[in-house]
Amino acid sequence: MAGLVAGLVVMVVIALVVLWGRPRPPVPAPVVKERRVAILSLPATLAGQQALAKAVGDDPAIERDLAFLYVSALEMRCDPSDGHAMVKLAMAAGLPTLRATGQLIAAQPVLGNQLYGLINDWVRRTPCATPLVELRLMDYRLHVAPATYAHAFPESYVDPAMAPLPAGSPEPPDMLGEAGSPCLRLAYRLLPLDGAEPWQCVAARRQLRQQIVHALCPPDIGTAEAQAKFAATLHDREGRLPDMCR
Amino acid sequence: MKRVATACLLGLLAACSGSKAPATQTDLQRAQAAADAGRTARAEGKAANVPEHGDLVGLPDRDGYNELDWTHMLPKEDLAILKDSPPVVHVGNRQGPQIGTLHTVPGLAGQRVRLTGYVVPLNTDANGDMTEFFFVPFYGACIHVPPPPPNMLIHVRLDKAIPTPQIWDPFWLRGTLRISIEHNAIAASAYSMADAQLVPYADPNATTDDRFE
Repeated sequence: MAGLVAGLVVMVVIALVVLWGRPRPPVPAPVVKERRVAILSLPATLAGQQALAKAVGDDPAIERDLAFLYVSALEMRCDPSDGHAMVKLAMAAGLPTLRATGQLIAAQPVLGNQLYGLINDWVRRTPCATPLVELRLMDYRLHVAPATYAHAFPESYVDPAMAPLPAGSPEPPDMLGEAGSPCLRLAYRLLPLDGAEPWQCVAARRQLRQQIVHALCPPDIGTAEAQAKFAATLHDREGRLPDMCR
Repeated sequence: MKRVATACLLGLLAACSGSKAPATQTDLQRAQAAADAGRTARAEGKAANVPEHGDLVGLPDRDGYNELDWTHMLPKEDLAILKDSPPVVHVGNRQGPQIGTLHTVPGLAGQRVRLTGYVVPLNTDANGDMTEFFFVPFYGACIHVPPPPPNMLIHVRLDKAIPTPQIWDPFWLRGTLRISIEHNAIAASAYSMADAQLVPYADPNATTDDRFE
């Protein structure tokens, strides 16, 4: 029930962000910097956001929410199926989405309007298929590659600045179509993704989650026999992780 | 174990170099620029301070692998960057960003070396055995402690998978050092190793049978 409520809240927030920005006056053209990958620089155009900038810069949990809201709202506009899949994945993986931001807004309600206005403004000024975006809020900067973020979700939730892969790199397995998989729920219950992992464990835990969802998940998981075998496999694979990473 | 302790100390020096800046890439670029400036100054006539070839490595073991100190993998201006870095702040839940540069010591390329350190697993095979890892001079079991700088990370791909060791187990790593950049989601590295062998540090007289090759 709590998951359903949380999901509805996330959907409503994103819908508000998307709807907020339908008819709007023209805004300054974004500055595009030429680097190895062109970066679309998006300075905030709204004034009086010092408190919000400080909150985002100080608390990585709020920074993660900011990136999640931005990319999911952008995907809702540009590729609605991916946008919906991200929201479902956030719920299925039990991510602490909007928990920190909800607490911030409860304490300072004015920041809620500022946050959603800011995200809407950024989304409206982002052309679909922009490879790399620099979100700017006063002195705060965050580089986000929307497509990379979406296709690496839920893992990208704790690493919003995840750089685009170098040309020729193998694509990691996509989770966007796995929101309904019971193995995905199991993987993220067994190895929760909360951003509190030491860096030495990030790759090992991430890879095991991906293997559980893609390589180890039995096609006949509905049967008791398959479930027992799968449970034994998970126990074995978790036991092969270094102690610090379990 | 003295060398491991030295490596840990150096690691902590590196580990205590995290800043509060929000973006890892920015730190890396800033440090790279500082090291570039030092390099330019040297090129303009100041004394070269990169160790000569003979000073880079220590004595060979019985198999011909020369002992290598982690600090010799960094140009000296990079060491200065680490020494001047602010300490790790153990507050909040922000992961420490990697700092440092991709600058390397050309004289090390192709050398058969051995050095002590720790394993950070990157990839496993279908059975869950490790096939790829970073070799690092220290382990910092805390979210605030960042990865070592790229030029103190060695990227290793194994020909044959091995059981993933504990993060805190010390090893000798032996093989032929290469200069090559690896950039993945958790860190960047400036060195790699070919024909790598891991030997548990606790048994310095290990025979070939004890090695993970």
